[in-house]
Amino acid sequence: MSEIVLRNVCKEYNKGNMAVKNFNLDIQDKEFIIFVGPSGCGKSTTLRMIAGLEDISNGELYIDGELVNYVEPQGRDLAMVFQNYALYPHMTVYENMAFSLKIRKIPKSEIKKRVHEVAKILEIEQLLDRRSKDLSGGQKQRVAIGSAIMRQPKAFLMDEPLSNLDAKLRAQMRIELAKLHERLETTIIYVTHDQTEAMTLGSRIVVMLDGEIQQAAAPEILYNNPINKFVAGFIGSPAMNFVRMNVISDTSEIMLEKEGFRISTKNRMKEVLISDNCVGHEVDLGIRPENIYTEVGKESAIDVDLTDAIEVEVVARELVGAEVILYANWCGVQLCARVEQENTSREGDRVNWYLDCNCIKLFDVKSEQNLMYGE
Amino acid sequence: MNNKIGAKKRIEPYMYLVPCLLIFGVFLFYPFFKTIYLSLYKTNKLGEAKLFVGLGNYTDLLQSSSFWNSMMVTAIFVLIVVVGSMLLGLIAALLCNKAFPGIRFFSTAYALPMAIASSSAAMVFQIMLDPSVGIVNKILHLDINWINDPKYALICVAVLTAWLNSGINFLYFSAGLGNIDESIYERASVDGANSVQKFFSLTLPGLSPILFYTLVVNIIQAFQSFGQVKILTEGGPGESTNLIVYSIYRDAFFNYRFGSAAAQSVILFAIIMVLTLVMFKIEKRGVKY
Repeated sequence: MSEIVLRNVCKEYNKGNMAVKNFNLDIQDKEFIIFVGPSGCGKSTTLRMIAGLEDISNGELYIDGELVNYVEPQGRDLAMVFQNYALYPHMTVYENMAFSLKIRKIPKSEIKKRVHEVAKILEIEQLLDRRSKDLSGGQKQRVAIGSAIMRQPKAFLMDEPLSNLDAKLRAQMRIELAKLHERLETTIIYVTHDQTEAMTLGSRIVVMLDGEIQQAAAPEILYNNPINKFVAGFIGSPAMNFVRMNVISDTSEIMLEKEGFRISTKNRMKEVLISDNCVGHEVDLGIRPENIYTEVGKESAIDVDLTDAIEVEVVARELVGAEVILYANWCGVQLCARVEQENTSREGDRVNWYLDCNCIKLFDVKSEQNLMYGE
Repeated sequence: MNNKIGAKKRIEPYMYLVPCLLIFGVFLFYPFFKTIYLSLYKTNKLGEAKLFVGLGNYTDLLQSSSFWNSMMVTAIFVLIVVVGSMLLGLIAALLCNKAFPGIRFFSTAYALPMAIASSSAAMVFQIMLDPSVGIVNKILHLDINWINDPKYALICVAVLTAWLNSGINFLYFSAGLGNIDESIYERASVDGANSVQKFFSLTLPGLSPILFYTLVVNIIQAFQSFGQVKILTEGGPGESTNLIVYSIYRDAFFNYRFGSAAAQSVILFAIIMVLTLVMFKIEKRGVKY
């Protein structure tokens, strides 16, 4: 059982240099929480404050209802996996894994049993006698995780544990971490800048920017209902396209317009544009690459509400396995579309693309908030 | 023709070594072999070998109580100096391993003994340890004749030497501590280790290569201490501080028994060599990393 609550937690370096601002979060027992955001957004700092490795400048941190601001890391009963693994270089894998139990004066036979159990789970039994400096990156990573799960701490803190691994190993470890979470049934707080990791692992994702939480929600909610332009652009790969549009009113219709191309709005989009007094102003239209269709793609598309064609000039083509990512210019804006592999568009081609009206998001130009954000 | 070029090519690398070998030869190899040679002879007052006595000088030494006293005094001295200087250096380095205001001042202060000549430090200590005007007796409210009491003289010289040697140890240990990855301490904290456990499980093993190196250097250095003995006690009172190096000096330049002095030098050399070899043998097992 472990519940971690952060109330208005701030981290201030020097004078006035805020690394984390008013961080509020309730982490439930057994949650897999991901802190995600660009470099320097304060996600690692927050994790280190929870671990007790950084002082909390302001605010309160509770673990299981107990205020732990001034409790040393030793007293918080957490386990942490570091980005550089932080293995003890002069110890063998066995000693590394046994360390946290040994200092708790747990009987040797018990330690031995636990080490072998954990080593078996992580498939590192054959490495137990090796020095940690003789291990490869992937092996070190397993040992680091193994050392962390030796105890049953209140929560696991993981600081970009996969960032030093190659892509293939990373994908494999991702799956294993998900399995491990199910097996351990403990809270995991996980920091990453990789949104794929965030999306695949997290039961809840906290998107951070400049020391502030932008949105904390389940992956699919973040994806389908981002609170602002930053979250919309950060989550999803390739990133969401943004186009600045004029909102005009034509007889009874409210239209989005850019250089002659018009999208007539209806239902919620229309309501929002009216209620937010956007008519006569500009908004940012957001559309994900997978919601843009080509001439070929639109034939087989179902359950879509396509706009008129926009004529774009393809500037780049990337083949990524089963699909193709096309980059194109439209009225000075670069758009990106995810299309079928059969698509033959090449650099320099002028082709017609269609946007799916059902998937269009609208963002306020100034505040960057999602105008269609629904609770 | 070809042969000539081949020969030139073969000689060339040695030519580069000549200046170095020359200096080594004049200042190291020649005195070294000359000492061994002298140790087999009785000499005149000018130090010229006159009468070949074989191992006579050595057998005389092994039967001399003064020599055994020297060995005993040296052993105690080396023990105090090595343990003291390494502890002082280590503690100072640990204290200065954290950033705090004035760290530069303290680091300089702890490293400073290394810049002080042993004889000048001895002169300062002589005044500090003076029974009537010395600050040590004044502060401790004692009335001890530190330097002239056989009970304390050796300890005084050893403590002074330990302090002198601690400066360079401080530097070595500081460098060693700086090399230990900070994140393993963070992991240990989260793992639940307290400072004592962290010191013994992480700091000491992390420092072990440097500890070993400083141990070897310190032992050799301690064996060779001379200046402070010469100034502070001149081997006395009695023979209570008659370290082997001082005994060599006395035999050679007071008693003009160069043969005996040479034999003691050879024995000192043998002791240091054996100790160093033994330590390197142990290193393979003891030093982790």
